Amino acid sequence: MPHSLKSRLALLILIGLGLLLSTAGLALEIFVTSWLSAQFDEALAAKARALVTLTKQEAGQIELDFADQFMPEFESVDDPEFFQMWIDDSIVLERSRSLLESDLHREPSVEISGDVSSPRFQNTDLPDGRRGRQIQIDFVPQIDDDEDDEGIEEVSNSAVGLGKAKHVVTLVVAKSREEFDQQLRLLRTASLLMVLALTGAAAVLILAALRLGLRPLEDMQHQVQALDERYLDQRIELPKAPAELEPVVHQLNGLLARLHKAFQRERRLSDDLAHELRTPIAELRALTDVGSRWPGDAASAQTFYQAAGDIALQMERIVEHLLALARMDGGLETRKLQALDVNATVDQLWRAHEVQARQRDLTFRADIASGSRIITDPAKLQMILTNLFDNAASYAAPGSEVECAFRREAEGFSLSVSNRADDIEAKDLPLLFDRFWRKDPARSDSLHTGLGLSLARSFAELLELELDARLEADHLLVLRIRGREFPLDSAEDDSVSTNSFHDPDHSDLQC
Amino acid sequence: MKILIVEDSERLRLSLNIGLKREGYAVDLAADGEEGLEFAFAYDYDVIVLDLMMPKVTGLEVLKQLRQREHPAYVLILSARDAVDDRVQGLDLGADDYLVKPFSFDELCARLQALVRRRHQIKNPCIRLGNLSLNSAIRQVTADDKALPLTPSEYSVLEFLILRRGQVFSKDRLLEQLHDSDTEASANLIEVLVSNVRKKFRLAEVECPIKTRRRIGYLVE
Repeated sequence: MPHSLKSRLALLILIGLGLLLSTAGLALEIFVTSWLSAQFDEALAAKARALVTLTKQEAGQIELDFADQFMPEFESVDDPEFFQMWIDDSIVLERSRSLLESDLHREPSVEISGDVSSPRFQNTDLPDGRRGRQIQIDFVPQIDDDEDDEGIEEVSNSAVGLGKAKHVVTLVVAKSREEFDQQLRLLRTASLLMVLALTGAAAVLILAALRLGLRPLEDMQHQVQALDERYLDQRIELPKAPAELEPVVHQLNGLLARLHKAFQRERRLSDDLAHELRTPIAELRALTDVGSRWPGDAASAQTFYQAAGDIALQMERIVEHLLALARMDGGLETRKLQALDVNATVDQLWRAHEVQARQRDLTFRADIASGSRIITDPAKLQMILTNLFDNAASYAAPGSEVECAFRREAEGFSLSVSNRADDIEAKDLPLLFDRFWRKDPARSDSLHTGLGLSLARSFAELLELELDARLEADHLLVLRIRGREFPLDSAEDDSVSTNSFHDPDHSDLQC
Repeated sequence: MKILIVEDSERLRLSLNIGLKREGYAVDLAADGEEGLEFAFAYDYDVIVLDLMMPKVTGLEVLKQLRQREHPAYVLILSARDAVDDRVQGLDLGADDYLVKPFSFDELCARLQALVRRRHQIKNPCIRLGNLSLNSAIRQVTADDKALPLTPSEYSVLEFLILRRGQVFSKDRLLEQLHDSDTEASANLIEVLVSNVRKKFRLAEVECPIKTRRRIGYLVE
C-alpha cells in the first residue's frame, strides 16, 4: 500500500471502481449472451416447429410435406442448415439435401405426454465440420383424416408406410453457430474494451479530482515541511481551507505561536545565562592572565585579588539562585506555616534597603492596618518581599516614592509594592519574571543576577500565591502578591517575632 | 601604539589596562558607548577594542558611527555574544576582528598586533632594517642576531618610528601616541626613552636607527 494519501485513495477508488465496472460489464455480457442465445434457439425452434407442422400421418403413412424452395437454407451450399427426421428412433423419414448422405447427432427419443416433447438444445459438430447448435423434438405427427386431398399438389414425397399405429417422430434441426459465436466474441471484446476505457477515464478523473480536492492538504504539507525552528514566526496559510482542515490549521498555528514564544524565551534565557556567566568568567580570566604574566607587580596583584573575590561572590550568587530555583522546580522546598505580623515584617525588611533608597532619594510609605497578621511561611514571604523591595530600591525612578500596601480581600489578602519605573514598558511586563531577564541588555550591574523576580514568583507559587505585575498611569509599576490565607489551625506555632526574621542583609537569594 | 578600550565591565577594563600598558601600549578607557565615541573622535588610535552590549550607546551603534564618519582606527569587537549572526553583523558593520569572551590575554595581544601590522600594511611580524630586526609578535629587537634589552616603552618608541619610516614626529606627538591621553608625563619622557634606546644600541655596538631632526623631532630613515 503506497504511503501517500492521494495514491492510497486513488488506488482504493480505482480498485473499487474497476470491480464495479467489471461486475457490471460481466452481468451485461451474461444478459446479452443469454438473450441472444435464446433468440438463436427460438429461431431454431421456430424452424423445427414449422417442420413438425408439415409432418403428417395419413393412411398408414407418415409423410413430410416439405418444399425446398420455401426453406432454401436446407439446400444452400453456403452456410447451409440441416434437419433430419426419424420414425421411432430407427427409420429415417427425411433429411435435408444439405446433409447429403450424412446423419445428424440424435439423442434417443423420450416419452412424450402430449403430441410434442420439450425441445432439447445442444451444441454439436455439423457434418461439414463447423460448430453448430441443434434442436431435437420428439413428436407424434398429426393424423390427417381427410381422404380427399386430390386437388393438392405434392411438394415433397417423403413418406413411410407404417400402418395405423401411433408413431414417434424425432426431428433434429441444426445450424451453424460460428457467426453467432463470432458476434458474441465481438460483444465480449467490446464490453471488455468499454470497461477498460471507462476504468482508464475514471482513473484520470479520479486523479484530477483527488489532486484538486487534496490541494489544500498538499499546500499544508509543503508549508509544514518548510517549517524550521529558525523560522517559527511562520504560520500555515490556507486561504480557502476546507472545513475539515480549518481546526487543524488553527491548532497548528496556535502551537507554532506557543512554540515560537517558548523558543524565544529559551533562546533569550540561553543568551542571558551565557552573558551572565561569560562576563565574570572573562573578567576572571583576564585578571589571572595579566596577574600571572607579571607576578612581581604587588600593587596590581592586590587589586586583582579583590576583583577576583568580587567575581567569585557574584558567581556564587548566580549559582545559589539557580540552585534555589532548581529546588523549587523539583518540589524540594516545603512550607512551614506560622502567623506573621505584616507591619513588623515590612518595616524590618525595608530597613535593609534604606541606605540604598536614601542614596537614590527614594521615600517609603507603608499602607498597612496595624495588627495585620497572616498565616504563611514567614521565611518564604520575607524572601519574596526582600526581592520586591530590592527591585524597587534599585530601579525605582530617583526621587520617587515606594509604597507597600496590604489589603484584606474576600478570600485572602493582597500585598503590593509599587514604585515609578520610567524605563519599564507594557511589553516588558510578561518578561519581568523570566529568569535572567534584565531591562538593561548590557547587564553592567554586577550586583544583580536577573533572577530575583523569578525566585520571588517561585516562592509565591510555593505559598499558593499569585505574583503579578501591572503598569499604571505615570509608569507606576505595581508588583502584587495575592491569594488565600492558610487557615489558622495550620500554623505550627506562634507568630514570628521580629527577632526571628530572615536577615535580608545576609540573604543569598536577593536579586 | 595607542588603543582605546570601550568596555562597561570595570574589572575587565582594569585588567586590560594594566596588561596592555605592561605590553607597551598606550591605553585609554571608556566605560560606555557615549564616552567611547568622545574618546575615539578626540584622539588618534591604532585600534579600538569595543564591547557590544553597553549602556547608553551600544557597541554596534558606536561602530556604525565610527564607520559612517570614516574613522581610520581598526576595531576589534570583544563580546560575550558568540552567535555566528552576531559576528557576521559586527564584521559587516565594519569591525576588523571579533573575539568572544572569555578570551586569552595572549590571544588578544596577538590579534592587536595583527591589526597594527594590517594598519601599516605589513604581513611579516619580523621587520628588517639593515642588520636590525624587529619582531612585533614577541616585541623583541635584535641586532646581528643579538637581542637588545629594551623595556616595553622603549620598544614602543622604536616600533612606532620604524613602522612610519621617513616621517618625523615631534616629542609631543610621540607622547600623545605612546601614552594615555590623561597622562601627566611631559615631552621630556620621550627624550629619556630615545636616549635609553640609543644607549642600549651603543652598548651592543650597533648603530641606532633613530635620528634627530633638530627642533623638529625624531625619525627612522
